[in-house]
Amino acid sequence: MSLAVRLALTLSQAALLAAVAPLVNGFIKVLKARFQRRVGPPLTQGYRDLAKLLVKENLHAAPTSALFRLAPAVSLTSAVLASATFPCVAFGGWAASGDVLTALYVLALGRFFTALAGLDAASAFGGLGSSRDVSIAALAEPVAVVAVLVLAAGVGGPPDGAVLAGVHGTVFTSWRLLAAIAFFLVVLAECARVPVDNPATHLELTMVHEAMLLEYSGREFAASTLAAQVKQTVLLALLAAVFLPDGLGASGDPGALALSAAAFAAKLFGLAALVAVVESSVAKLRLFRVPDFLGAAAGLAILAYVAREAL
Amino acid sequence: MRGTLAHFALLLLLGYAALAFAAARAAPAVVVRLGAVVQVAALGLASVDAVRVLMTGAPQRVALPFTGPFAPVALRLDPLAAVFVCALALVGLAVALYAPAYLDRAGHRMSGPALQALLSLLEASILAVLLAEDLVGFFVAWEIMTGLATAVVLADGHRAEVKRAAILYLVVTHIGTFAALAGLLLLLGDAPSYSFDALRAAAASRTPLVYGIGICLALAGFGAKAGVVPLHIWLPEAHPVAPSHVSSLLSGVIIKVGIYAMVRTALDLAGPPPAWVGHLLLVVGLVSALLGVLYALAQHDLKRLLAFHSVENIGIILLGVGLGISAQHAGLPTVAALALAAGLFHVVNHAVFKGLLFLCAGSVHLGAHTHDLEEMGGLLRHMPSTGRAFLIGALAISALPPLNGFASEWLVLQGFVGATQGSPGLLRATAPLFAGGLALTGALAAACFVKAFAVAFLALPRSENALHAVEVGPMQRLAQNALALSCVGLGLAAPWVVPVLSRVGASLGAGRFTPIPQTGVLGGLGVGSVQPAVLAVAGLALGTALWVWLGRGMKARATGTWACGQGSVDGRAAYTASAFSNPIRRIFSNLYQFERATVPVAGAAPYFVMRSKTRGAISPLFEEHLYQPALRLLRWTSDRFAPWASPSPNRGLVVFAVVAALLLTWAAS
Repeated sequence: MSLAVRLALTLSQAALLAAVAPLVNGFIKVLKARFQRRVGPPLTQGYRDLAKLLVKENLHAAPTSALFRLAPAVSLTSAVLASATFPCVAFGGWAASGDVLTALYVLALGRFFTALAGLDAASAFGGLGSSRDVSIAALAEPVAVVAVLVLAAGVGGPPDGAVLAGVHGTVFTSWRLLAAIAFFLVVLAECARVPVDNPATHLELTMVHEAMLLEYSGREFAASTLAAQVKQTVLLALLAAVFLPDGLGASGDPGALALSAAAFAAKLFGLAALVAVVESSVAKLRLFRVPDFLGAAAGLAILAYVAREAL
Repeated sequence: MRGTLAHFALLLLLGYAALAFAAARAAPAVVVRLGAVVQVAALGLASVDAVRVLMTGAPQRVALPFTGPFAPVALRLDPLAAVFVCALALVGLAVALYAPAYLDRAGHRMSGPALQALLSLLEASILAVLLAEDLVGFFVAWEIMTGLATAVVLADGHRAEVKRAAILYLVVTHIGTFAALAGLLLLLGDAPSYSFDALRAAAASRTPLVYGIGICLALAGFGAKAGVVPLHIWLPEAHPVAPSHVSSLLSGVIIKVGIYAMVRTALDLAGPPPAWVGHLLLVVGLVSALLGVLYALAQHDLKRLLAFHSVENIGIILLGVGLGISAQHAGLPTVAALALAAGLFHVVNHAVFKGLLFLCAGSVHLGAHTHDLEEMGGLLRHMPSTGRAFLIGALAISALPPLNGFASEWLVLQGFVGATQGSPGLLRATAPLFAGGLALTGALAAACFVKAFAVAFLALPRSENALHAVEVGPMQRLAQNALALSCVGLGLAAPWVVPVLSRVGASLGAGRFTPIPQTGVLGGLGVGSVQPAVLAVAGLALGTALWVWLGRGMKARATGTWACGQGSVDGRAAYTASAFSNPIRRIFSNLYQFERATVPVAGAAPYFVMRSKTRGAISPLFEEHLYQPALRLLRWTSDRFAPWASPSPNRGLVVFAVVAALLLTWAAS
C-alpha cells in the first residue's frame, strides 16, 4: 500500500471512531434502560446533546485561568490521536506512528489536563474529582501496561500492528482471554464506569469524572464530553482489535477489508453491551474498595503472563 | 602539549574563582555577572568537546604537564563522560543565566561573589571527576566536589536545619565514599598502578567472591551519592535548603555523578558484569522509583517534593542500566542496547527538567516568598511565564508525550516488553512486574505533578503573599524558557539522539553493547516504535484548530464557581495539596504509617471547641527501622571499646602497636 492510502486509512479510522463515539455511548444507555424496563433515549441522543451544547455559550468561573480553556481541546485531541496509533481493521500497512503503549501515554496527556482543569475553578468538587481520578488512574495504568505486555510476549513482537499480524491465525488461548479480561476491567475504571464510578450520578460527592467537568458549559463542555466518549470508544476498540483480533481479514483487498470491518463493528458493540450488562448488574464500589478491584485485575494480568509462559 | 576545550573550561572556572575571591569586596555586582559569563563560556566550550566525542566516538586525552602524588595526571573525555558533561552543560548554562538576578534578590547569608565562586569551583570539580583517568585523581576530585557541594548548601548555614542537612549529607556521602574506595581497592588488588587501565586489567582476574564484594561495596558507595533507596535520606534534606539555582545543579547534575561512577564501575572498570549485577540494579531501581514518587506525593513543600522526585528518577535511570545488563545475558543485544541508551538519555532528560523545575521553584520563592504549596494558589495569573515553564517541566517529568521524559521512560518500558522474548530466566520471569512498577511510577508522578502545578499555579491564592506575587526578571525567565525548550527539543529529537547515546555502550570495556542504527523512529528493532515529531505535529494542528474553534464566534460569560448556592468561593474552598494526595496516601497507608493528631485550640469555653489544629506526618520508615538500629549498634560497639580508649597514652600506644603488628604480619603473609 502506498503512503497516501495508508494515511487515508489512518485518518478515516480516527475520524470514524470519533464519529461513532456518541453512538457507542448511546447504545450502552439504551441497553441499560432496557435492563431497567425503560424505553430509554433514542440511540442518537448523544449527537443531539452535543448539537445543543455547541450553540450554548461558554461560561468561565472567575478563578479559572487560560488552562481551563485549553484543557477541552487537549483532551479531545489526545483521545483522537490515541485512536490513530493502532490499526482496527487492516494490518501490515499503518501510517500512524506509535503503538498500543503510546496510545496509553497519549490518553494520559488528556487526563493530565482534564485533572488540572478540575482544580482550576477553586471548587472543592472539582478537586475531589481530580484527586480521585488520578488516584484510580495510577492503579489502572500498570494493569493496562502488563496486559499489553502479555499480548506482545505471546506473539513475540512489539505491541502494535505487528501484534495483530502475529495473533491472527493463532488459536484462541487462555492467556489471551485472561489478558483481555484484565484489560476490560481497566476500561471500566478508565472510562468512569460502574463499579468504579457512576456516569449517571447527579450527586456531586459521588462523582469522579463528572465532578472534574462540573464547571464546564457550552462548546467546551461538548468537547470535554466528546473527549470522554472518544476515549471510551478507543479503549473498547483497542480491546476489540488488539486483544481479540479474531475475525480480521488477512489481506488488504476490499472484500476482506469489508469483512473485517464488520467483524470489528460487531465486537465493538458486543463489548459495549458487556459494559451495559456489568453496569446493570453490579453495584458501585466504595472508593477505597477500588484498589481491590484493580488489584484483582492486576492479578489476572499476571496470571495471563504465567499462563503464557507455562503453555 | 595540546589542550582540549574541556581542559580550557576547567582552567577558566578555576581562574574565575581565584579572581572572585580577590575582587569580591571591590565590585561584587561585577564579579557576580562576570561569573555568569565565565560559566557560560566554560560550559559552552566543554559541551562542544562532549558533543564531538559523542558524535565521533573517539575519546580525547590530555596529559597535564605535572605529575601527581601517585601517577602522571591526565584528563580523558570518553563518550560515557561526554553524556554527563552534556547534562552538566545544559543545566549549568541555564543556572548561569539565572544566578545573577536571583542572587540580587534572594537574600542568602553567603555573599553573591562567594556563591558564584563556589559554583564555578563546583562545576570545575564535576568536570574533573568526569575527566579523571585514575583512581587518585577521581577520588580527590570526588571529595573536593562533595566538600564544595556542602559549602554551597551552607549558604544559609546559620539556620539549624541547614546545618543538620549539611552534616547528614557529609556523613552519608563519606560513608559511601569510604565503601566505594574500599570496593575499588579490593578490585584493584596488588595492581602496579592506580590508573583505570590497571584497574580494568586487575578486575578481570578477581575471583567471583572478591568481585562480588568489591562491586557491591562500590555500587552501594556511589549509590549513596546518587540517592538510591535506602541511602537517600540526606537528599530530601540537603537539596531543598540550598539556594534554588544550586538545587538545580545538585538535583540535576551532582547526583548523576553518582550514576556516572556506578555505570563506570559496573560496565567499564570492573569488566563484563554478570547477570546478577543487572538484577540487583533493577530491584534497587524499582524500589527507588516507587518509594521516591510515593514519598514525593506526601510532600507539600515544593522543593522537598522535587527532591523526592530525584530519588524516583534515579530509580528509572537504574532500571534502564540494569535492564541493559540483564537483557545482555538473556540473549537480547538490541533490547540491552536500547535500555542502556534509554537510561543514559534519562540522565540528560532528568537533568534538564529537574533543573527547570528547581529554577521555577526558586522563582516562586522570589515571587511569593514561600516553598509551601498550601500557601500558594493562583500564581499563574501573576507569574505566567514561570507557570508555563513549570507546566512543561511537569509534563516532562510525568512522562507525557511528546516531551523528553516520555521518550526515555517509554523506551525503558518497551525494553521490559522486549525482555519477555529473552531466554528463560529471572529477567523474563519478572519482566511484567518491572513493567507494571514503572507504569505505576509514571502514573503516580503524573498525579503528583497535577497536584504540584494545580495547587501552586491554579485556582485562588491561599495567602497574602500569593495574592501579591510578582513575576521574575527577563534573564530568569530566559533561563527557564531555555530549559523548557530543551525539554521539547530533546523529546522531538529522541529518535536521533538515542542511537548516538547507544554508542556509549559500545565504547565501554570490550564493546559488548551493539550500537543501534539510525532508523528515524524511537524504538523499533523488535520493540514498539513511535515518532514523537509526528505525534507532536498532528496533535498541535488538531489541538490548535479545536482550541480556536471552541472559543470562536461567542463571547464567554464570566460567572462564579458553583458553590451549592452559597455565594462565591474563596481560596479556602479549593483542594489543598494534602487533600489532593489523600486517596493515594490511604491506598498506600501501609507504607506511610501516617500519624495524625487533632488538638483543640484553647478558647473561652473548654467543652465547646471553636478551633482545632490537625497535624499529620508520615513516619520516616528508613530512619526508624534502618538507621536508628544501625546507630544503636554503633554506639553499643563503641561503648564496648570505651575502656580501651582510656586517656592513658601508654595503653593507647600498646593497642596501636599490637594492631600495627597484626596488620603488618597480615600484609607480609
